[in-house]
Amino acid sequence: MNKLYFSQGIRDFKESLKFHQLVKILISLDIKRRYRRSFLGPFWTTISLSINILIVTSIFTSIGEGSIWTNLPYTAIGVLLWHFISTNALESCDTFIQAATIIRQANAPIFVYIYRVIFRNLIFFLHNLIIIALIFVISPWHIGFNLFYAAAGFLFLLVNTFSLAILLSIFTARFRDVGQLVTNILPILFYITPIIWKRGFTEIVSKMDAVMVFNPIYSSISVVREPLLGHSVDIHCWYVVFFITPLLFITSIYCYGKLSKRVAFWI
Amino acid sequence: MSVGIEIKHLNVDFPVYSNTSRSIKKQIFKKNLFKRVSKIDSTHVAVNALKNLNLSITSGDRVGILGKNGAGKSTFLRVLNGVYQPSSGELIVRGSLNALIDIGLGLDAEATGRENIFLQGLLLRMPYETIALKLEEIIEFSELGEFIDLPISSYSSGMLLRLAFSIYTSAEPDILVMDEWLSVGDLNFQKKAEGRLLNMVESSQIVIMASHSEELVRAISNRVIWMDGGEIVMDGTPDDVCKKYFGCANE
Repeated sequence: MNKLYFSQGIRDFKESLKFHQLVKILISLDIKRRYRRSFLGPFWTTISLSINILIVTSIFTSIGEGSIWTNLPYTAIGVLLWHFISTNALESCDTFIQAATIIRQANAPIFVYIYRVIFRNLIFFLHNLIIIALIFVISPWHIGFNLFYAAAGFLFLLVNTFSLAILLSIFTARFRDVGQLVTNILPILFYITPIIWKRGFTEIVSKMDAVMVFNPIYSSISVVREPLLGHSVDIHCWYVVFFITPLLFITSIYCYGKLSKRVAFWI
Repeated sequence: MSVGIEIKHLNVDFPVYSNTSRSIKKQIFKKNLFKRVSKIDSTHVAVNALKNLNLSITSGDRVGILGKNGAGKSTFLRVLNGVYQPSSGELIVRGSLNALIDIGLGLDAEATGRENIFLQGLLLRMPYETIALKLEEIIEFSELGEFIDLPISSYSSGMLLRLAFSIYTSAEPDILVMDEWLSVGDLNFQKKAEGRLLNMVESSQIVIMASHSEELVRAISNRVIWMDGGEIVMDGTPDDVCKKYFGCANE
């Protein structure tokens, strides 16, 4: 029985790839919407994020160690990755509600609407990368071949975001308060994860270091951020990522196979 | 492979949710603290919208569906379109199927008419290249002129319907499913639309249309199904079923 749902999910996944043109047009409409009546469009988010990063870095530099230029890349990459993860999580909560009229009318696999959220945010993420490029130009550091590790790490992060989006999309369609729950949990996760602060930042944080490694968000961010900064990654982070990625993926495909056909009744 | 539809013991249950059952917090608490109460206070109700349908539709059939409001006609059409999945039973659709139900619902208000043609076309499973080929013809038929490059939020309701109609009727499905005969636009456009729809009906191998009009059902179909309460009451020639159905309705 279990295998049946999983293979159903995989079958739908393959089927959904035929709809790449539809996904493309849905995303292009979403992006045009952002640019409409605004020359800067999504770059407004970029500006607000860069101000955010600048302020946070200066505060943490003044109470921590290092100079602002050594801390800036760390914070910038962390915040941008977190922004990507969290907006995906937030917007997944509304995937099917946003697409309700289309779903009731067309019989495309609902993967299509999940792709729409993920890839739309990926494109906005690429917009935001300009911040890191700018910091690099002003104050370069050594990256070298680590870039490949960072790319591999990002691929894992992308798969995890995708799995999470599937789960959230489906469960928010069924349970309307999951969205509120996510909205409330996200800021907490942001503060307990070393995104704007570093491991060993204070004494208490040092004591909890062992627990910290098992925070999947930290691990997912680390495997991208550390190589990008030219550092080596704590091997534990890779272990966590290797463990969590297939687990989350299989769970989400299983849930999809089991529940996706019910979504039309829920919205 | 011939075009056709096979339906065996098809059931569709519609879940109706109360506020409690839509809240994950309440669900969790209910299960842990008041396990017994939840059994009595069952908030999960299902409406049996289609009951044990058995049907075989083959190429050449022009099926009219009659029935009161709430008889399950629209649900049945949506099941055929693959929007609602059967709760049990079997449904096999051979051939491409397009449903003209709620036309215009999927339009994106902020996108231009042209963008919407692509969006709707792709939703109707038309290949991108086909839409591109038919683009000019669709624009011309809709009589929108220069409006086609404006966001459709600036359109009048008549213009919107004309656009939607032109897109929907540009597809060439094997099986055409319609909820009521479409009539859109002013008198002039209506005539044009009528001709186009008739054309589409003729070129489709199977047509399934729900309607309330005796005249229309007699004109279009060669087989009529009467539905009531989610069940098939009668399935026969237009003459037989119309006489019974409209005879009953008049009484």
